[in-house]
Amino acid sequence: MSNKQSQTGAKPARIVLANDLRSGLTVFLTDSGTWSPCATDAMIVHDADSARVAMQSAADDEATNTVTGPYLADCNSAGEPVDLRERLRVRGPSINYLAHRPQDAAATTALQCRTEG
Amino acid sequence: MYHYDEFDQKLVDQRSAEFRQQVDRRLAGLISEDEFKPLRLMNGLYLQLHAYMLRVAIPYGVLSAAQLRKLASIADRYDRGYGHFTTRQNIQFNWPALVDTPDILDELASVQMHAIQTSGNCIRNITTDPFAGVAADEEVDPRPLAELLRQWSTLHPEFRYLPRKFKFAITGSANDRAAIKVHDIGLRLKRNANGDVLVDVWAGGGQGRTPRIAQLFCENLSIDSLLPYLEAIMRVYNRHGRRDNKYKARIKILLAEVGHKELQQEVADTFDRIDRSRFASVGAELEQLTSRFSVPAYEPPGNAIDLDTKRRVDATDNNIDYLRWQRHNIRCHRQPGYVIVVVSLKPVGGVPGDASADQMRILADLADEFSQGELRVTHRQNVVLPNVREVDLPQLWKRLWHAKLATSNVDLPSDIIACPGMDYCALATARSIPIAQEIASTIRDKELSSSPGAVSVNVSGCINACAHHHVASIGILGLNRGGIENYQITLGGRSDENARIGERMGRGLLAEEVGPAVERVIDVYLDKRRLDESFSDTFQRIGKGDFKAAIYRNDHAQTA
Repeated sequence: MSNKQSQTGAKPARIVLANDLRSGLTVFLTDSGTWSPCATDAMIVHDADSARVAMQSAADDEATNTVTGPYLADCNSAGEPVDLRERLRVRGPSINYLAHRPQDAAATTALQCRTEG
Repeated sequence: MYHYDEFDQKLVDQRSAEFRQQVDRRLAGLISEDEFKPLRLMNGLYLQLHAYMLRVAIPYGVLSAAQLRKLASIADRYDRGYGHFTTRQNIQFNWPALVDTPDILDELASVQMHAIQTSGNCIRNITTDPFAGVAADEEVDPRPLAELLRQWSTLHPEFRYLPRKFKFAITGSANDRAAIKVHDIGLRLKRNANGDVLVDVWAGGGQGRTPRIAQLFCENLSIDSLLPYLEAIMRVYNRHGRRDNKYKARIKILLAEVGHKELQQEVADTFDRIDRSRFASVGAELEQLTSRFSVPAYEPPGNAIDLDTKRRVDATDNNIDYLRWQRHNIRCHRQPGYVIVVVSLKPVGGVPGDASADQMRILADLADEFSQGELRVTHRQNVVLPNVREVDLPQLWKRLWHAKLATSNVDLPSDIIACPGMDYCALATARSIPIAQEIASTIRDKELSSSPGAVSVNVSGCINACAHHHVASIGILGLNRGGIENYQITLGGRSDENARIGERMGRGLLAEEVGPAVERVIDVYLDKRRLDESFSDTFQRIGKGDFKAAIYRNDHAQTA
């Protein structure tokens, strides 16, 4: 939980991120216990017990080589991470790194899922 | 350029096959991530912020056109159509899938490339002068020695698990373009009056969180003694380098803790004890390698200028863009009638060091057509065509211009080194690429109108200093201050033969403050410089006062 949330009394919210083992891409743990590349699909947990259950599910998937490096990240009520680093993980690079391939620039980041959602 | 022999090819092929097995075992769950991580890192495969990243070695920055075409093909087939050239003269792919990496390594091996020792606590890719073998001011071509050291250090059993990574750089010119004094070991090749090659060995330089300029360990060492002397340094470092704290594990820290004279003496004692008979064939080996870097078949000057060519030259000479490019991107070649062309990968608004697959293919074609099939990668993240006939410049420029590769800014402020920063890197504390883009956009008009001397602007996204901000004229370090990106500015650094660590100016700036502050710093330089004076020379002459005042001008305005 971030300091800001604790100071304001806002309900703490977190999502679980990891990397897909085979592709390496950022994925999000969903309500159904699967992993999605779309941040909009991310399950938002609001308390320690839910977080523990979510992380146990993630650890199980890590043990069976679905994902690697799962962790909890603070987010707002809409599931948008609080920390800049995590926001970049969700949105992808903040630069126009696909300027040479505009046709591919869309649909490459979790943010696109968010937009479509 | 050097071509693999049977041994080289077998080693790379075997390594690729071995990694395929390791990936298969990882995907099958036979090894854990903790077990797999050191194996993938030994093959240059990182897991970054968004995806895996594969760092491919470009030994001493030398590439053939065929190799660059292969890199373009890999970028298209396995990545997102681009690659990022780094300050170690390597290339990084930012989006490869783990399942594809064995195939990528096979493809690399097919053109005599690999990713071995591009990560891990071992001797990393050896860098050198990007103009090696062709520079007008060169005394000794460093490429044969760089190749010898590549062979010596590749999978060297004694040095595969060093306390920390270890970086070599070599120059054969008095004008150091390889930044040898900020490397763990820097080698300066020169000749004595008899024409014999001698080596000055510098050690203990480095950047990161504790920047240090290297100390001279041995002057005028004979080439026959070089490998045993380097082994002596490595052995002393391997024995005494700290393994308890990775932030204090580089040889620069050992040097600071032990002392220059004491460490130098221990190296000398170790050198004396080394069995020199193991190195008896090194001289012959180096001679043999030198023959592999034979001088290309240059045309005699003047023969090639026919009437059509002259018309093309005259027509292009009226083009201001061409004239700017010719002024800023061309360097002197040792062969009359030839020039070295530096192709800037720093278009204003672009990502420093990135090249699309299409651009790579165009550069490969241009290398075949105009530069005898060879290219170089510079530690400033640009690409060099090393053997271009002067009369071909107009035609070459037109082709580059159409490919958006004719930015005329080499060694100007917008020729910015930037690490991937937080846009890609898992270690970064702030973004660097958007800052570089903002600075370039802010200062481009000024640099076109004012013709500054050499000014380097380097932007690192964390204290690891991958963009060499400590030794930039204007160095920018991105940090995280309470969740907000914050940028410290250092001025007056330089990485040449007069290498110097830049001086930190004061409090860090917000992202939006950096571009205007850099512009004001350049204004001070333009106002105070003497004719053709570089930024760093001006800074050393007048001191930091005016520059610092310019950076924090708004602070003074608020408190006045």
